[in-house]
Amino acid sequence: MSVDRAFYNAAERNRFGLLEILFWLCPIAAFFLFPTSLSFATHVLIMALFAMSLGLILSFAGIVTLGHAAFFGLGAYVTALLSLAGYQEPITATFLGGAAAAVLALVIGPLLLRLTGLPLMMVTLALGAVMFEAANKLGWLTGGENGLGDLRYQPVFGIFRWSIYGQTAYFYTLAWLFVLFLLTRSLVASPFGLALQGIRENPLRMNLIGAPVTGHLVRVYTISAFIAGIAGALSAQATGFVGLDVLSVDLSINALVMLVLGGVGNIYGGLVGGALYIVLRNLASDWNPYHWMFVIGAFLVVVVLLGQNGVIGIVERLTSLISGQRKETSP
Amino acid sequence: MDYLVSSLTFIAIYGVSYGMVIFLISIGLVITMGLMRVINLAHGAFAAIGGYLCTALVSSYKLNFYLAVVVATLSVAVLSLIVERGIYRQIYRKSELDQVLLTIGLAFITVASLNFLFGPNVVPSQLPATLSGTVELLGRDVQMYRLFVVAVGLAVVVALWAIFNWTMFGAGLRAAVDNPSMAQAAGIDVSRLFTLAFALGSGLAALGGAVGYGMLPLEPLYPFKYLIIIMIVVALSGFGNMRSAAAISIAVGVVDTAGRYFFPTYGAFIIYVFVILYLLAQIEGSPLRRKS
Amino acid sequence: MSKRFRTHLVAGALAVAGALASLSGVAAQTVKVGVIGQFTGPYALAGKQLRESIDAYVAQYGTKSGSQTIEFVYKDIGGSNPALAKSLAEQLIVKDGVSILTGFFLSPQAAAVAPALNETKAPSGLSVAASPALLKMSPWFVRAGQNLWQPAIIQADFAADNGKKRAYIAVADYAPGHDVQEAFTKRFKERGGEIVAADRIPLNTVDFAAFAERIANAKPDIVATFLPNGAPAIGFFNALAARGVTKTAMIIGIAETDDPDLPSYNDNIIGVYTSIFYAGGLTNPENVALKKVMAEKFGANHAIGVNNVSPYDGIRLIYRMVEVQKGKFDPDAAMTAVKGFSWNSPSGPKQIDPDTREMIHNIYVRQVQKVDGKLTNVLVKTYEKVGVPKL
Repeated sequence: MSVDRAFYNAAERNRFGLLEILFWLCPIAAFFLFPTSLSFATHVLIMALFAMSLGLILSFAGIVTLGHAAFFGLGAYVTALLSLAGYQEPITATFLGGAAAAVLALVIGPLLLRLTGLPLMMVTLALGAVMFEAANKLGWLTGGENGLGDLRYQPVFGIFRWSIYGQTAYFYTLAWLFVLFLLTRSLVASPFGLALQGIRENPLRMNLIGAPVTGHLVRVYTISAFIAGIAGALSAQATGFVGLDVLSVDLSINALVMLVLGGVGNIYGGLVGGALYIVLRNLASDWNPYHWMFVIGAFLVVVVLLGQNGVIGIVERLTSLISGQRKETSP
Repeated sequence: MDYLVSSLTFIAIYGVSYGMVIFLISIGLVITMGLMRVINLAHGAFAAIGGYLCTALVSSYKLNFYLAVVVATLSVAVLSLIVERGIYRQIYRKSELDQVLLTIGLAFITVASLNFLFGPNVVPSQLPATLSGTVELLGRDVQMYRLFVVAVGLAVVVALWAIFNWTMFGAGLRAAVDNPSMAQAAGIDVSRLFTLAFALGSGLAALGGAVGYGMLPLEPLYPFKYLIIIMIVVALSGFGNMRSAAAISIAVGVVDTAGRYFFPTYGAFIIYVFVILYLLAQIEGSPLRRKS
Repeated sequence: MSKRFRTHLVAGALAVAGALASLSGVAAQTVKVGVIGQFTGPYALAGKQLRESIDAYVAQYGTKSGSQTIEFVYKDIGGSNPALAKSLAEQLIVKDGVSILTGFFLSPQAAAVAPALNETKAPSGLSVAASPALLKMSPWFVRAGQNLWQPAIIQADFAADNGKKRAYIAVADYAPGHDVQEAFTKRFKERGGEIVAADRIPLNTVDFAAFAERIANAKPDIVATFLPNGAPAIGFFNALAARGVTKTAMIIGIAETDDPDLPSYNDNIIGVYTSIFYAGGLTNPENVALKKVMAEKFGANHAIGVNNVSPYDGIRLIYRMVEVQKGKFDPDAAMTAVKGFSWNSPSGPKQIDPDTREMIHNIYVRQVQKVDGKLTNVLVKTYEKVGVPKL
């Protein structure tokens, strides 16, 4: 899997391609095709959003972190606590969840992002583990192992009520996902995005030409944390429940796997990978999870050794093979 | 005063023996990471395989414990030769992310296979008769087993020191760690060295898993459970630095034991906080500047 | 046709139609029961035991109760995941049309589901989940297992009955452990005992030597413990034995030495007591019958444990709920039927408290001994009709 290739940048062409439009029609179609599975579908969207946020720093800026769940979890708990404290306006509650995560990133980023490679992975892993343990210990605040349940929110825009059937939750999540996707897309296309790619490829050179490397990294880290925090907040609102699993190392590693599944070198990688992972996991839910672990392990090994850029990479290869063939046969 | 002395002897004996087990399962990774600069998150898997193999030989084939340890260690070393040639060789030049992903994948495969072969439960620890007794040391009864672990650890330290300083292999290793291209230019077959060093490292992990299973219980998730501690030792010791690894391992064992002894509820935090602070304090130092 | 004749004809047709309709209402309907279990993951053994118990009950009593047929729908959580439990419960109710829920191995999962139950009025049997706080969260919960305060109080009673005065509490550092600590402390002090110290052992502990050392230093005469089965319990008891605590103090736990788990221990566990609502060696006819069915279906050496028996009791409750149904499922009738219900179960006489919906039952104290060369839980004392105190 090569991140040396030019990062696929949908916004380079200043319009939405046909494939993109088709992609975004799918969630809308899903609403009508699967009306009784909406809470599952919302979960798919939330994980896709989380994976996209990780893709922003990992594949794009080259920051390898094993603790991204910390931001997801922080967003979830903040939104949950707001509801329990009586503040139940949903849109601002979601926003505040994301903001809390962004603040955390802003505080630890400047110190953290001076590290790289194994030490960075270690520290993010350790920080994630510390947050998990802290949430466990602070049971009076987080509900500990029991979590925080029965979270209620006012109807969105005063009209759309939250119910067990999940329609409001689904569209609310989809709206946030689309908005944040547009934000990410434009960021990737901007000069800032270009600078980040430069930092990923050759930080020494970027330093030499005077780019504020750590500053840029902190900025993208904060944005990514914001998005991850929103995903966590949405999770709290859609399920009405927050438990310790929102901070677990498992979640961080799963996000990594989702990204690899979708394709590391692409802005859609997190979205495709997240959705695919959750759906496949659900289909295999009758399996022994150890068998699933084996499949994921084998998949990771194969992907790295063969250098395929995830599902998107395979699709791209196939389409180029087909169009390559067509080129040859045309007179 | 009595309490203080008793506490200190407890921490000394138990902390050091725990630290020695950690040393045994981590030193292999310190060597391979020092030499090949590969982030190998599957290192714990070799330790697990060694442990499972050893206990299977003892319980199913009634092999003598010490013989089983030797067989398990050598088997895993041979297995690792194959894995290195087949898989690891291809990721030496790949990005850190790729190495992380591939080795996590190998660890997943190992966990799933261990569960398939041995079931999800913890392997019950039946120590051999020669190690089950106790010995009086510093005014308390200490399990022979713990002293055995310390003895093995010390033997490994001495053996490694001898290898690094007195053999051609060791000299070649040191050269390759300092400057691989120069070593290659001087006629050292660096790739063969890598393979042998990898076998050494994995064999040591297997030794640790086999010898240490009384303190680190064997279960399918073993490769991930102890990964954090192994990574802590490696990250803190610096690449390829064996003496530092031994000291750090003992320190981790003692700090963890003391932490849990004096502050049972918060003891778990102490080691993480220690690691985070230590690593952050290194920031202006050279090993941690961004790789270019 | 005269107008009057037509009216009579229509009325007669309607009456016939109504009679036919009500007949079909009384005719066999299916009640779907959603089972949210741990069929994969770290608690897969409990899920297996749940499934076995349901199969055993159906083998003994069939799938009909009253005029209704029961159909089980299974969903897997695969670990500790309260959010997933909630979403599975919603799926079961909304998509699969279940009227009753059961399963619920871990208490947080039951807690997460409570709001959904309240919104949809689905009676739920708590097969195993033992947190004391659960029943207040929803009027639709009924306890099939135990309330954790019950065995904890018996731990204190048994210790006091045996003249122990200085207790060391060593529990796992999570909500169930805290519950045990709370109940034991209150009861032991009431009986005149002293709590020498209380340690909350973190769940990720690998080396228990430090805790064994602390306990040994305090020289208690009884150690009250509660740890999850598997590596933590095994490691802890081994550490206690290595430090010599097993020789100097009474050690009493709750579910650690459950019959299916005993083979994982070595001789260090001999002499350890446990207090819980079931003992494999009970000789009442229901237990004998259950063991016979289990042996027939799963092999003569199949050991059944507490996680077989409480789900079995839970199914008994569900059959009771369905028994009183006459047509469309009536949740209120279901709950009224089980409140105050009493019956004989393999684990002894059981009764559901009509006000709190908790279980009133026997709590047994067993000790691990070597019988015919095998580690066995031997019944030592029975405490009868243990209800749930107000703490």
